[in-house]
Amino acid sequence: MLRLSPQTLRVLDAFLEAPKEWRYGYDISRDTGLKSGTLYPILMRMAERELLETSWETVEEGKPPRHLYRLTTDGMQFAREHRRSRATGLRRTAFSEAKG
Amino acid sequence: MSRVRGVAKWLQEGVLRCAPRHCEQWARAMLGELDFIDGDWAALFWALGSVVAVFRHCGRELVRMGFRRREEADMKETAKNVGWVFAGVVVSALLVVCAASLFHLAEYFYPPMKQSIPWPTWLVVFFLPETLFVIGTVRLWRKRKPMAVGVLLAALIFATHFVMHIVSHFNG
Repeated sequence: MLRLSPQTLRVLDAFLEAPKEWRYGYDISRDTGLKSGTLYPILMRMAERELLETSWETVEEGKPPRHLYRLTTDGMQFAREHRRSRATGLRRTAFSEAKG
Repeated sequence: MSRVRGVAKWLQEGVLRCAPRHCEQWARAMLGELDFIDGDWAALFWALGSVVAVFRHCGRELVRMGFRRREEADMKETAKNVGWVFAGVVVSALLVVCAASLFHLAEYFYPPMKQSIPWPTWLVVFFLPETLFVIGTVRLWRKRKPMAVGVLLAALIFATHFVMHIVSHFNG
């Protein structure tokens, strides 16, 4: 299973902003504030677990193609479940704090 | 392209060259983004990050690849050395054969040599080649050690053969 570090959760959240859209690595990096050294290992792990699908986009002649990323159906489900469970967890914590 | 961006690109291409096969597409992906990064220093940090990313994800395989390359290099070096030793032995053997052939040729043209004392035989067939072997070994030792070892090996085998031959000759 994917290790859910705060950085991974940020990446999942970034994908959930527009779940059906293809995203560039640099754009995800800007949205999440993660450096390439942190972001790409997360993307690699997500792709290995088939939570992320990848594609290549050819740009201008002589320039290297760009890699695109999008959540798979499983990835979307996984991200939503974790967002929901986080929200429930937060609500529970807030409730117990209010009670205490 | 600025110098900093040039360094970033060079680094990124280096990562692509060194990346293990299953990390290659990721190294290519990070290279593909480089042209779209605003700012040269940001591009350099992106490239440095890609080194970290590839190492974090494929580090174990990279180390294994390094060992494999070193093993392959060692094997090639060993094969080369064995080749040179073999060449040394072959060249030395050829020298002995030439010396013996020359001596037999001389005997053929000058038959009284057969009846004379055996020292010319020893000189031409043993001492002369052995002297050449010693000189060859000394000269080659620094430049081409494996070949020098081959020559020395041949000299020792030949000397042993000669001593055994003399001993059996005089005992007989």
